Amino acid sequence: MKARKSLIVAIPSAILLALIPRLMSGCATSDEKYHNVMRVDPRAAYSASQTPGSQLASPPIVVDNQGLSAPTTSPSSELWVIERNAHEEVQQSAVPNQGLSNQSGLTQPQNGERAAQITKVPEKIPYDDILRYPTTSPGSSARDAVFGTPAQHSQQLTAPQDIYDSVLLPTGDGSAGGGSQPQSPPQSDGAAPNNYSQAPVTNVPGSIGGEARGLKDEQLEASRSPNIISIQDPGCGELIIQDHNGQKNVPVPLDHTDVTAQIQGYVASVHVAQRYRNPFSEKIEAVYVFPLPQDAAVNEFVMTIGDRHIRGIIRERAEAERIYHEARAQGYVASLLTQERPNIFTQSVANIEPNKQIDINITYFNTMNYVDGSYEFVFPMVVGPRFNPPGSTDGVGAVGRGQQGTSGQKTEVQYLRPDERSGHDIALSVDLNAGVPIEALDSRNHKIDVKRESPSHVVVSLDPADSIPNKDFVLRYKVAGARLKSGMFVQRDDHGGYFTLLLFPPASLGELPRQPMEMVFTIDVSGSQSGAPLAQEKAATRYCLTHMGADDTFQVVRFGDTSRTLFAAPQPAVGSNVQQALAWIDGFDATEGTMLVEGVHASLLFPHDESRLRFVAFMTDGFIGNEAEALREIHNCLGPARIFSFGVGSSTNRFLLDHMAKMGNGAAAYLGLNDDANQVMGEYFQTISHPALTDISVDFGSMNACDVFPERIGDLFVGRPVTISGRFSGDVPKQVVVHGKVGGKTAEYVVPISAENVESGPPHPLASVWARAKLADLGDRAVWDADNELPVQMKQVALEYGLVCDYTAFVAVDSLTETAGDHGTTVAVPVPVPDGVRYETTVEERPARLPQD
Amino acid sequence: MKLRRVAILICAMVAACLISAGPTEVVALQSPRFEAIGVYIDPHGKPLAAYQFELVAEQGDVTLVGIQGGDHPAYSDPPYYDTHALLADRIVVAAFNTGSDLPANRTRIATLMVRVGGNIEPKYNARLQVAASSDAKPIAADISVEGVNP
Amino acid sequence: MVRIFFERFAPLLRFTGNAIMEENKVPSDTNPELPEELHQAIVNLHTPPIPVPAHLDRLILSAAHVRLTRRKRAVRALGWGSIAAAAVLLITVARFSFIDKPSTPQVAIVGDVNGDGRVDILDAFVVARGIAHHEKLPQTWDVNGDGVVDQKDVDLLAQMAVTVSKGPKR
Repeated sequence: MKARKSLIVAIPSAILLALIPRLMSGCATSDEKYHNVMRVDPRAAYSASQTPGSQLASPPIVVDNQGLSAPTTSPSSELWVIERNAHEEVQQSAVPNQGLSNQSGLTQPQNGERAAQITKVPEKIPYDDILRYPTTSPGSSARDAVFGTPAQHSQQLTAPQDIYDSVLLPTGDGSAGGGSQPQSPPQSDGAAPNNYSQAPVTNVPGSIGGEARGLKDEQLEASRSPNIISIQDPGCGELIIQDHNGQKNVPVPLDHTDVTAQIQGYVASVHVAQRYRNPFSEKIEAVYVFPLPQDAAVNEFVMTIGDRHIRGIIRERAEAERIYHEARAQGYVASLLTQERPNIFTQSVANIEPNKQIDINITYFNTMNYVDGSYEFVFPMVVGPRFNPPGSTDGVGAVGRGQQGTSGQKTEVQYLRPDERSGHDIALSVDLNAGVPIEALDSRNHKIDVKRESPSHVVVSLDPADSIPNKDFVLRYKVAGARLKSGMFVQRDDHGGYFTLLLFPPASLGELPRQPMEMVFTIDVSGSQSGAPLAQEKAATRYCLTHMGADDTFQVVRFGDTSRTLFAAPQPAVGSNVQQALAWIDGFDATEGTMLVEGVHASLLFPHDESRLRFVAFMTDGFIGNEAEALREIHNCLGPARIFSFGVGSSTNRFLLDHMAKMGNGAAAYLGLNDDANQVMGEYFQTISHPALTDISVDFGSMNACDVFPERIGDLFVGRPVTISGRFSGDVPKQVVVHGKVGGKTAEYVVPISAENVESGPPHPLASVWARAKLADLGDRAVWDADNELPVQMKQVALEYGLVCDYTAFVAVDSLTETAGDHGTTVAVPVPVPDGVRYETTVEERPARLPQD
Repeated sequence: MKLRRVAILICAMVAACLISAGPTEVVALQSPRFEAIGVYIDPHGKPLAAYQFELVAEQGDVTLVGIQGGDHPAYSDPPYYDTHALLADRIVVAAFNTGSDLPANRTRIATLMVRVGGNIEPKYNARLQVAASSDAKPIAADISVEGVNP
Repeated sequence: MVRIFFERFAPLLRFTGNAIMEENKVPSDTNPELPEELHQAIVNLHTPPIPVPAHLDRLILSAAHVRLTRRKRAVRALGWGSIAAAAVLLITVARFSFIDKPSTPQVAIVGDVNGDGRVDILDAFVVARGIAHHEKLPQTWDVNGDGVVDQKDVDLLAQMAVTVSKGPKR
C-alpha cells in the first residue's frame, strides 16, 4: 500500500522533471545584444575579396619595400579581417589572395634589424589587446613582433614619430635582406631598395577608431611588394595630410555645422544643421557628442538625404535606441539623437556610404538670460573634458582621438591632439529683433560681422576667420530703456492657457543698506583650469578680497583632488588676513582632479555666523561628470547660505553652474578668458551688496494659475529677473502681487499687468516653454528626490510636447535606402579641447593593453 | 492524507497535460523589417492645395519611424502629423501649400517610414478627411496606400 | 363597513374561535347535529347586503367622475404644455444654430476659422493663405490669443487639426 502510494507520487513528478528542460528550451529569450559602438567589421571587403577577380570595396593600405603605399585596387595582400561582436573576443581570419600563402612572407628580424612582421595571429585575441603600433625590437617573439613589447607601450604617446618611427619591409622574396640600420625614407624616384627599407610614418596607423594611416604624399607608391601585408581597416582610405604649420588634418565624418538663430523677445529659436559626409572608403556610422544650451528644448529633427527630408519621431529613449540599432543592423540609413546631460547630446548616423552626405537638422528654442542690463545669447560649441571621480561609470569620459572605450564612462568625447585639427568648421548667424532699439552689442569670444537692418533689428554673423568650434559663442546686447519692467506673456492652445511672468526686482531693493556678509571663495585648481582660466580666477578673487566691507568675514577654499581651507574658521576682512589670502592664492597651480563635492563640503559644512549672510562664490569651469552628485550635496548641505557660481573659461559647463546657483538660491555669472575680471566681480558685489527678496510667492488674482514652475521661486536679486512659467484658465489679471521677505521682514509689491506689458509672445509656443520649465524642475528634483515617479512624469511631459530629455529621443529611419552589408565602422567625431584648456592636463592618453599569453 | 492525495492528483494532471501537449513548437518571430508606405491622392485634375488623411494600421505590429514628404515639390517637406500618434495605432497627417504649382494628378503626397514587427502582415486603411483647392473649397479626390520600393 | 363587518362577524369569530378551541379538544359529543347557536350564526352569514338608494348611488358616481375628469384634463394640459415648450426650445436653438453668418466668420468653435463646424487643415490653410496674400485678417483668427494673427496661429491650427486624441473637432 505504501509502495503503491509512493509510486503514484513519484511517476508524475518524474515526468514533470523530465519535461522542464524541454519547456525551458522552448521559451524565447529576448537577450538581444547590440553591437558596441566601436566595431570593426570589414565584411564588405571580405566578401568582395572572396569573389574571384573582384576588387576590394576598400583597398588596403599596403606596405612594400618602397615605403608605405597608396591604397591599391587589387586584392593581392594577405588580409587580416577582424570581426568583433559585443562582449566577445575578436576573431580573426586570414584571407589568402592570389597565391599568397597563409603564412607571413616575413621572417624574424635579424641582428638588430627592426621589422614589422605580421604572423598568423592566434585567434580569440581580445580587441583591446590588439596594438596599433606594430614596431618591434630585435629578438622579440612573433607576438611581440606584431604587438610590440610592454616597454614600448608604456611610453606616453606624445608624438606619432616617437611611436612608429619605421617599418622594415620585406624584399620581393619575402626574406629579410641585409641592412641593419634604419634608413632614410625612400626616394621620390621610387627606387626600390633590395632590402628592408624604412619609411617614417607621420601619424598613428589606422586604429579601430577609424583613423587613417599616416602617409606622406611623397611616399605614396602605386606598386607593392609581392609579400604584402596589411591590416584591413575600414576608413583607412583617407590620408592624413600635414600642412606647413605642422598641423595634421584629420579626416572626420562631420564636415560643417550651420547655426541660424532667430531672437524675438526673450526666446531664441535656433536651427542647427550638421553636415555629415563619409570621407572614407567604406560605409561608416558617425557618432558626434556635442553641446547645446542647457535649457534648450529640442523639438524638431529632420534627416536630409539628397533632396529628401525625413522628419524624425520622438519616442521613449529605449524604444528609439532599439529601432535605431535594428535599422543600423539591417543596413538602413538611420539617425538617433539622445540626451546625455541637459547640455550634452549624442548624434548617431548609421550607414553613411563612402562620399555620401547626410544632413541632420535640429531645431530648438531656449530663453535667454538677462543679467545686469544685458541679454545674453549663448551657443556652446564644444564639450569640455570632464573629470570623473574614481570608480564612476556614468560620467563623461575625455579620451584622445581613436581611444574609444578607454575611459570606462558611459559617454565619451574624443579630443584632437594639439597638433591635429579636423576639417569641421562652423558658421553662425543671429537674427535679432529686439522690438526696441538695441544700444550696445558685443561678442566676447568671437569676431562678428554686424548688419543693422533697423535700430531694433540686427543680423550678426560669425566671422569666417573665427570658425573653429572650440569656444562658446556669447552675444550680449543692451536694449533701450532705463529699466525693464516686469511683464507677462500669454498664449492659448487646445491644452489651455500658458503664461510666462518675468519678475524684475523692485527698484527699492537697491536703496536698502548692505548687510554684513560671510564670504567664502571656493576656487577650482583642477587641471582644466591650468593657464588662463586659473589666472582669471586669481584676478577675480583678488578683486573680491580687496573690496570687502569692514564688517565682513571671509574664508578661502581650494579644491582639486581634495579640498583645503585657508583658515580654520572665517576671519575678519582686515589687512593681515587679506594679505595672507592673497599670498596663498598666488601660489595656486592647477594640476589636480575636480572633486567638486569636496569643495561643496568644505564651503558649506562649517558653523554659520547668524549675524551675517553667507555667500559662497564658486569659481570653476564645471568640467565634471558627476553633476548630479554635486547638486545633491549642495541641496543637502546648503543651509542658510547662498551660492553664486562663476563659470571661468571659454566653454564652461553652464548646466552645472546655473543649477548650482539655482539649487543654492543664488545666481550664476560667467568670466570668459577675454572678460575683465574686475568688471565681472564688481557687478557681483553690486548684486550681493543689496538684499534680495526671498521666500517669494505670487498671487495671480483672478487668473487660475496652476502647474507653476519653478515650484520654489529663487531669490530676486538686483539686476537679475526671475522667470516663472505656468498654465492658467480664466482671464489675464490686471495685476499680480509678489510677496516675499527683505532682511527677514515681510514685503510685497504689485506688478500691474496692462495691455502694454502683455506681450505678443515669442516666436515659439509658450506651451513648449512651459513644458521645458517643467522638465527642468522635475530633473532638479530627481537629483535629490529618489521618487520613482519623477522619470515617468518627465517622460510623459516630453512625449506629450515632443521634447528630448533623458528619457526620450528622436529617431529617423530611411526605409528607402538600404545599404549593402549590415552596418559599417563606427567613427567618432573628435573635437578640439576648448580654447584655453590644456590637452595634456585634461585628456588622458591610454596606451592599448597587451595581449595575455 | 487528503492533502497528499490532492497533490498527487495535481501532479498527475499537470503531467498528463504536458505529455499530451506534444512537441513544443517554438514559433520563431520574424525579425522586424523596415518599409516605406506611400500615400497617394488623385484629385482628378484639380490642383490639390491642402489635404488631411487618417491612416490606420488595421492589423500588424507597425511603428512609425519617420515621415517624408511626397514626390511633388509642393509637398516635398515633411507634413504635419500628430505626435500623439505614437500612442495610438492611427495617425493623422496633413499639409498644405499656398503656392500655384500644385499637383493635379495622382501623386504621392507623403511617405511613412514604418517598422513592422511580428508575423502578421500589416494592413493599412487610409481615409481622406480633407482635399481642397486653392480657394479652400473641397474637391473630390481618392486616396490610396502602396508600399514604396527602395 | 369595517365596523359593520366586525359587528356582524364578531360573534361568529368568537364562536368560531371557541369552535376551533373546541375542535382541538377531543370531542366527547358524537352527536352529528349542529348546535343551535352555530346553526343560527351560519344562517346570519348569508344576510343580503344593505341596499344603497339609487339616487345616492348616482350622486356618488357623478362626484367621482367630476373629480377624475379634472385630473385627466390637468395631465393632458401639462403634456401638451411640455410638448409646446420643447418645440419652442427646439425652434429657438435651431434658429440660432443656422443663423446667417456675417461676412467675417465668427469662430464659434475654437480654431474653426472657416466656419465649417470642425477644425482641420483647411483652417490652417485659410489663415496661411491670408498671411501669404497680405490680407487684413480678422482678429477672431488669433487662435493663440497673443494679439497677432501670424504663422504661430497657422502652426497651432495645423497641430490642432492633426491631433489624434481629439480628432477633427466638431
